[in-house]
Formats: sequence, structure tokens, C-alpha cells
Amino acid sequence: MSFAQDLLEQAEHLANRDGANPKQASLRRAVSTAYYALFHLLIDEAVGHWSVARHRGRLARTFDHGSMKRVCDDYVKSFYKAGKPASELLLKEVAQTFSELQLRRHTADYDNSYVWTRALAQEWIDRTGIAFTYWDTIRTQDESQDFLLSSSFPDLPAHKKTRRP
Amino acid sequence: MFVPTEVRKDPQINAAIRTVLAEESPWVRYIRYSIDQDWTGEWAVFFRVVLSDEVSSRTRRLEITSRLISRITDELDLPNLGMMPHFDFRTESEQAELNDPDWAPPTA
Repeated sequence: MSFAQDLLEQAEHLANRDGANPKQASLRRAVSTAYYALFHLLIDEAVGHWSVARHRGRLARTFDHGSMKRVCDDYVKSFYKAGKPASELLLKEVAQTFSELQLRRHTADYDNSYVWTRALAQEWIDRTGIAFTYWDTIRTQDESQDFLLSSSFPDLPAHKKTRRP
Repeated sequence: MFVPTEVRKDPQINAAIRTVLAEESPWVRYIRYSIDQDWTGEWAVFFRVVLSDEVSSRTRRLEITSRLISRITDELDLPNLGMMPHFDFRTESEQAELNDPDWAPPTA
């Protein structure tokens, strides 16, 4: 099982480990872990293209949370600007889930006033699982690979996008 | 928080809420929102959605909330809105227990 899959499984474990009265610490770590599961799924996929295996760990550390969120937000907006092309719906869902999850992760990690319920934590874990499934479906598509390239190098000049009808 | 007037798009947001509420009643009781900056400093719309207690099973809740995210996002006209929407959900009984004024029913 991949590291990203292990993290998703661990998120589920954390959300369910405390019986009827879950601790806020468990729920907050669960949501944060779900975010990192998706984060690592995408960066592992991106650096997997690098042929020199020993460089991949270093490359993975260059990914920036804020930049990846901006890439995801821009992708969601461009999806609507292009008239919601059906071929890109699943990638839009992955990008939007990433952006949402990152905010949840920020709340989970830093906002002590926010009260988490198990249902809410599970909801974000489930949504992460759906993003995993969607990604597995679309990971080899051109749009998905372009998306990974933008996530890897957010300052790359934009190229003219060829959308399929 | 002070929100620049060029950022405020209340009619557009309220229209999206009305449309989706009509579609998703009675599963959704009400929706509130605020416009604020996210942790990266980008302006965003933060929706707070209160669900019926009947939406209690894990599967049902995921189904309803996923549809709500898609439908509200579809209705918002994002390129024109210029902000990302973000969503948070609670059931009526969760809100009753927390008694959070930011999540209270909207006044008419």
C-alpha cells in the first residue's frame, strides 16, 4: 500500500478510535492526516515522473501548500470559465477537494475554538477517499498530467491549453 | 471584517443559496455565509450549511453534502464571482448543542 493510502487509512483509524466520545485531538489529527494523504498522493504521482529515483524525495519537499492551493483554485475557476467540460469534471472535483481539505487542515491544526464532530471528520475523510478514486480514474489523462506539472512548478509559463470537445 | 465593495457579490451568492435550498429542502434547513480571507490571504465565501437531523447516516450525509458543494459551486458563476467557495456543515442538533451565533438561523 502506498504512503498516501496508509495516511488515509490512518485518518479513518484516528476518527474512530475513541469510542462514543471522540477526543478533539483525535478528530483534528484525523482531518489533518486526510489532507496529507491527498497531498502525498499528488506529489508522489508528480515526482514519480522523475527518472532519477534518489532525487524524488528532494523534489517532493519543494511542493508548497499555498502554491498547490492556488493551482487548484485556478483550475476550478478555469473549469467553469470553459463551460464545465465533462471530460474534466473529475479533475475539478479533485482540485476542489484539495483546496477545501487544505482549509480544514488549517482549522484542524491551528484553530482551538473550532469544535469537530466525528461525523464532520468522517465526511472529509470520505471526500478524500472519493478524490483518491477519481484520481485513479484520470491520472494518465493529459489534463491531469498538466495539472501535476502546474502543481510541481507553479511559476512555469502557462501553455495554451488544448481542451477536448 | 471590512470587505472591499468590489469583493461583495451578495445578490449572486443569495440567488445561488435560494436555488439550492429549493432543490435540497427538507434536507437542508438553512445556509449562511460570510466573505473573508482564507489563510493564504485570498478572498473566499465561507458557507455554513445546517442540515436536517434526518441526514444522520454517514453515507447519506456524504451524499447530501457532496451534492450541495457541487450545486452551490455550479450556481455561483465562479469566473464572475472571483472567489472560491468553501463549505462547512452541521446538523440541527449539533448546532443546538454548540449554540454558535455564527450558525444561528438567518433573520428574515
